[in-house]
Amino acid sequence: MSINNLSRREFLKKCRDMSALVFGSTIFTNEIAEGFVKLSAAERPQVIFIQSQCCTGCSISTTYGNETDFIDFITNIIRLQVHPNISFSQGVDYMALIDEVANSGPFYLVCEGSIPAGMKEACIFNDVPMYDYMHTLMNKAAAIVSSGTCACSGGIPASNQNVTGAIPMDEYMKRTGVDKPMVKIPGCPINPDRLMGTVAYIVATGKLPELVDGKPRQYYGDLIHNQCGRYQAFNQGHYTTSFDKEKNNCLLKNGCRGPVVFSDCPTRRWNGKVNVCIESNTPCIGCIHDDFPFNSPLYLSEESFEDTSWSEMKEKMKK
Amino acid sequence: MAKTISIEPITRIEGHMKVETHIENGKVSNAQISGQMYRGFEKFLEGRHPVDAARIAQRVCGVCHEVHGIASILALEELYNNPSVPNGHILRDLILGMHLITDHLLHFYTLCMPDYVDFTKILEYNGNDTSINNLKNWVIKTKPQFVLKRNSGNYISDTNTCLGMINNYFQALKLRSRGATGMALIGAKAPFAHAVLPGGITTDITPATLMQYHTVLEELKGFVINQYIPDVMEVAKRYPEYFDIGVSYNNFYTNETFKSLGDPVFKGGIILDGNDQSFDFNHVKEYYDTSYYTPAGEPDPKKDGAYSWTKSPRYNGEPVEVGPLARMIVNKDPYFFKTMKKLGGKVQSSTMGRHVARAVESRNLLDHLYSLLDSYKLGESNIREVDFAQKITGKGTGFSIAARGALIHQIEAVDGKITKYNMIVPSTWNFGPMAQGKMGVVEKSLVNTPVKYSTENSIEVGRVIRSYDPCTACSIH
Repeated sequence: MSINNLSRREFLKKCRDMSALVFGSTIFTNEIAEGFVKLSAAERPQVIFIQSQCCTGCSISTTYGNETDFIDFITNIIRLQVHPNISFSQGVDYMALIDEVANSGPFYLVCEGSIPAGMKEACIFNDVPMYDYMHTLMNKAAAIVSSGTCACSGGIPASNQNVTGAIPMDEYMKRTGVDKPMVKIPGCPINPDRLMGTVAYIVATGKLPELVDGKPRQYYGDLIHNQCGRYQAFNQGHYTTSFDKEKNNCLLKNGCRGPVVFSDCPTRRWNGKVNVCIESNTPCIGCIHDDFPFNSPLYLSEESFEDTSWSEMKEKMKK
Repeated sequence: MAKTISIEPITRIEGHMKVETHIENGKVSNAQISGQMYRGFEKFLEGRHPVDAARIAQRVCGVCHEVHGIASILALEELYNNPSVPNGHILRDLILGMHLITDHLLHFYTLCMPDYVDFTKILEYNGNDTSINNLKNWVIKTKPQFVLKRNSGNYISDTNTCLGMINNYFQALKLRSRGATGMALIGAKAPFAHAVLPGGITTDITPATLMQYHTVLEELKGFVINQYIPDVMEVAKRYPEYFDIGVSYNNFYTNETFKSLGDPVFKGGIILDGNDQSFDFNHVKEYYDTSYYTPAGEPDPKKDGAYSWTKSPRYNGEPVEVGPLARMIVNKDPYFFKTMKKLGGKVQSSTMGRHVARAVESRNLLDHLYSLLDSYKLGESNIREVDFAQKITGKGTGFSIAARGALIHQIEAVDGKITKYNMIVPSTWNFGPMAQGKMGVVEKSLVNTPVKYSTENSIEVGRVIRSYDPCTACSIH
């Protein structure tokens, strides 16, 4: 048995869970199990985390877990080698560690944050602008995971006047000529399942999951609106006029971006599956959307929704 | 002979930081701390709808993930002249309190403990505990480099103590995850609660919500009382010298917080040169002397003589320390003073004092969270919402706290659009660079730190820096 410390039954259960996590069904259990059996614990691919213009929220979210558990992830699924918030070493020893791992064999690189392309001094790593460093590490990686909205589409650092000329990872890779497989896990912050599930799948099978616009279909395949627990309220035209008095109505007219955001939030949920934004009676602000945080107000109450058709309304909300 | 040690990057903190120290006769004689990452949050907010600040300013930092949302909401409530209903206050404090406690766990175990405990001792374990054996096998088989590569230094090395603390290191991660569940029950999710809006909380709170929160609270209490506090005491006893290492100017400041039940848990106030004073916001000024900004506050990365993106807030021109230790000292917390006496530590700014203050504060906050739960009134309103369509003009200031210290958000709006947003953040107070001829708080407290164990790196400097729980994303924003 390759996966350490587990009985065969536990091992298969883990593979089933993982399959369910990534694909919503257990049909890929065998594929994942085979992938793990082939790898002895010591051969499990290594993972390096690196942070650029970020807030660490995605890493913190990962440690919180949801259906996935972070400790399980780092002790039984991947070989976590470098993480800026967890690594015991610092300074020169930390830099030596990154080099050692990057040169020792295949590794996957999880990137958080955007890259300041317009003002390179706005993110310095070991005395060098992150802009000049990151691609050297990317070029050694087997594949890259963009973790969080900033890394996937620029997010808040790239919003409004974009003071530092922040760009997302795919744009950065284009500019610096990095040609590596990449998967995007947007979210501000990421939902832990989506990051850990995707990385686990890549590690076990050695390939990327099925993607739509660079994102795993399983997590980002359908609109929040279509899976929303309040869809019936929408159908019947029950809209929220007061957060205080109406606790189960559709939040569309309070700015909810469920109709333009592709994500499984309503079923995936958060923090041990206890809650999710709309269930808390607060509109989806579209933190997964490419245009987040948008130019329009997050909580708009547009009267014009009254008379528009469904498709017109979707167009309006995209802006 | 003088020597320079530059530690970059500092790990196990939030964000990008470099510290450069001059070493003379085995001690730090001078230090410069550079915050290395800038985004421009205050600028992004200009021109936006005021309420957007609640969601965007909230995202300044993903470690102190609830505090900026709450400070921003307080500023918005003043702007809209619409304070929260009592239940809303209580729910917000339930989120904030749980966040502070779990943040302290993150700080002590995940960020700091690797500086004190020898994790390789797990390899010497010969007992039957499955979870410890699993960890041992994990280390042997996969050789996790993030653990095995570490700084040279004086670690606690007796196997039993180490094993207990290593076990708690992992337990703390689980407890934080449970704490996040507690916050999400009320705030929709963690990090970044979306249910927090000006006027209160949107969530429909049922008895089941409160019971689930209560369960989490019980688990947290068990861990804080039985593991966290004893572990901090143990580390404090093993490293008594750190009650005199990492001493800043001994000026302390905190904001009044947790006042939903009347008397605040933390009184506001400031201690300058040993004198208690009431805090007057008019005396606060942010300087950019050695920061990458023009006198007008615009980013200027090529500025001569500048070495940090962090600004330097000063009170009457004086650098002031903020954080749990400041809260304990300003409040003359009896339990804290008693604990320090028991440990034989002087009540002053110090590396170990800051750890002890966090542990004591966690216990105090637990008590308060139980009272808050008891005071929540089922059936009464949780929110008095503001009219988002209103073209508001005015100003608002939110005084609150983060785990790391006193926090201020200021907003100005004209015709329903933000014209100015300003944040004065704990790590800005602590990690701001030289200004008005005075070193920043942490720079000052690095002076006289002994450096013994490495010629290129220093575990001691790391310990002092981390004791402040630096958050560079917050501090620079």
